[in-house]
Amino acid sequence: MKKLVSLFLAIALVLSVCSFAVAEEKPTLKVMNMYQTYSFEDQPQHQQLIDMTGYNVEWYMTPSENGTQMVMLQIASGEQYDLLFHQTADLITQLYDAGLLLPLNDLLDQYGDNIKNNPSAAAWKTATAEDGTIFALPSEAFLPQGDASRYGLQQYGIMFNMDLMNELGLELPSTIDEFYAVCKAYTEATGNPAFTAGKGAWEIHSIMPAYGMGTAVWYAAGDKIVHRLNHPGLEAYVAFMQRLYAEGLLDPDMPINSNANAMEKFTTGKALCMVSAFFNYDSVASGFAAAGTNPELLFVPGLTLEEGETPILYRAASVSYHTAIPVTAEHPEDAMKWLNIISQADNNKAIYIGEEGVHYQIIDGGYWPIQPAFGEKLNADKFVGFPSTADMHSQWMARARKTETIGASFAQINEGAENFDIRYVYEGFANGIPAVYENQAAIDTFVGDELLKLIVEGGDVAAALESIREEAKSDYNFDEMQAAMDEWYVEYASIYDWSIAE
Amino acid sequence: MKAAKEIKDKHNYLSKNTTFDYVNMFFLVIIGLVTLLPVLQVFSKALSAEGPVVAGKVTFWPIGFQLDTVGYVIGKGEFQDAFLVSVVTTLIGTCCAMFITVTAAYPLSKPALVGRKPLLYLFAFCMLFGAGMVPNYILYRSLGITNTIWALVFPGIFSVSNMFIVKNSFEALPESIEEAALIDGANNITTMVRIILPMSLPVLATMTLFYAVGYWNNYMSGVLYITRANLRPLQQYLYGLVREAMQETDAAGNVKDIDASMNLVGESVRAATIVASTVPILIVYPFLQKYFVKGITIGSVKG
Repeated sequence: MKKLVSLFLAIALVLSVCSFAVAEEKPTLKVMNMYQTYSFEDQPQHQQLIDMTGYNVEWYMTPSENGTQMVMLQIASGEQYDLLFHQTADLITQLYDAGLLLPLNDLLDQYGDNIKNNPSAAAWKTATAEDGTIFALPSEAFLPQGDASRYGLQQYGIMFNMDLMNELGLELPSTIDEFYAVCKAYTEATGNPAFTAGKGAWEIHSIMPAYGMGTAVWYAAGDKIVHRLNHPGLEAYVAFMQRLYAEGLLDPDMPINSNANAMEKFTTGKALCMVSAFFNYDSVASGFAAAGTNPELLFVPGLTLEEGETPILYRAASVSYHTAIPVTAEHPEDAMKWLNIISQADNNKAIYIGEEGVHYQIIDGGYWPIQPAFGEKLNADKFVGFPSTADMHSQWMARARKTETIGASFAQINEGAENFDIRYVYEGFANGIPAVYENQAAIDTFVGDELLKLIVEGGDVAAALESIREEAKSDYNFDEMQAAMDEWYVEYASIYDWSIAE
Repeated sequence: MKAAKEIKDKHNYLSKNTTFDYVNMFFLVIIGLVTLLPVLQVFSKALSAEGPVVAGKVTFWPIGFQLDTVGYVIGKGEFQDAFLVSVVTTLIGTCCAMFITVTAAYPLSKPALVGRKPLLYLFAFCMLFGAGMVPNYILYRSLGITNTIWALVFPGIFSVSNMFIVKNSFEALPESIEEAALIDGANNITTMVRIILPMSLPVLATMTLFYAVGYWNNYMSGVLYITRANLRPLQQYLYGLVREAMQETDAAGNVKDIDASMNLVGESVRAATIVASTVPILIVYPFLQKYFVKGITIGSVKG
């Protein structure tokens, strides 16, 4: 009996030792993230992720020059990465075409519960091949969908120096004519151009809404999709800008201004207004402080054509990054598990904005940061996985409201956000189409240069636009790009819930 | 008598500065100073308070002098890593490069070397044609040195043109000294180390400086072979910082990464980083500058 017991105990001891040895430590993952000037290991999120997931991570960065070419070369030579995190669509598509990516369908089904339902159907489309193979995970720009509040979408606008406005007894303009009158009043009173902007500013995204345009390149027009070159409002917009320039209301140095030049003119009181964003409030204010003044600065996010109209704001829904697992990965399942853990809603919140009461607080239902503790969240956005975009938009506001003054400016620029006509644009999902990504950038540069010349030199707008359209077709493959977009639009027309007037 | 006077006048003409000379010198000095102005502006921005920099008021003199920005930049972990990487690469790289260059130049300067002509042609050929980015990457990868310091040291470790300059300067040295050394029983290595090198200090100092500056300014090898943040050379870190300021927008003009543009490093921080990176080499340069001019010409004219 004693022998049996001791035998049993010996076996139990051996088994327990074996299971202890078999329970492996989690492997170290090699993750390539996008190029940043700071080091990922130095960020507090690095340790936070290790504690949260149990996986140690070695961070690598995409090369800053020729990134696509270099990473293709590295993977093709057998360089081992477990995850290509936050990479460009260009690189991921090329890697897939070269057969260097693992299909993710099975991994997602087994380990990706927190990820599967978060990206929208349109986003998944950019990461799925025609035969249904999912080759990447899309990181979407976060926009509130459906009935969710549109608050917080206004970020850029024309910033007015209220001291100068009050001196002249002027009010913030809301229509094109009011804007023109305000600028004219200032220029006549002081002799300085009222409106200053950096070079390349042929498109002023706060004036364009009056003509139905905005940041979008492609506009839904019922059953067609129209490039901004063919937008019906373009002629009137260019004519208005010509008028501003010709009458000296727009800074004559605009074509050569750098942002610093525009800033200098504005902060020394030599201009009435400037294009800026709410998050620049503090640095602009410090510029004024150096000049010895402290004016109130207010934004006009969008102008309208007629009194009482609602301003239009175009916001791009797009996939900013793709994440994929290369065929050279040693631990693909662990990589997916890791992504799954960080994409879980509460985990994501802890990474992105931290803990309530420590890093952030909730005031009036909105997220506000607690400084200086929130400072350690500065670079947290590069450690985020695939959470729900609605969550992300509201949490992002904790990051947007960096200081009290910036937070106040954010509130001012978003005043009346509920009344704006906010239109989502989906052309970002066409970025993977070769005819589009090969031609669009060149066409945009060409169009930008020509329109800038047209604004500065004056001349017949309609005729000039015709010749620009001709040249785009003959020299820049415009028709090819248009055809590709037409094809794309057939699938996406149903998602567009707005349309420009023909 | 007349001929002698003519020669004397000519001599005087050459040594005396005419009005043209003074005017010429004046303009050249002005132009030289003008090239200094951008450097002055960056230095001023680095040492000014944030407000005046943003307002664009800083021209050639700091407004609101403060050293905090430079201190902040130097204190950053990434900057220190990048600086250390550059210093270590330069030191190791220059030592290795000089060793390789000198040991290649000395035998090639001896006419008695078997196969000297073909070797020289081979070197000259390599000077003109390189393999390119992809073969180099595959080579480094198979050697296993990507993401190590050696990937920063190997590129540029041997410059054939530098080797030719050193070789020519060795050839210009009198043969009698070497023969005397041989008679005294010195072998080739002893001759090179104890006789030839001490006599060639100017050209060696110049080559050291060339290599050192080349390594310090090297940016491409970091981009091509390094993906770990802490192994980035200084120039790559700097370039990333400055380029970040030119925001990336997608085709629609939407800023791709709103968080990145919200958290842009300010202009004064960028200027301070540039200052912190340039000052070390600026300090070293004057001490070795006198060898520069002498060193470049030393390999050209024999005797």
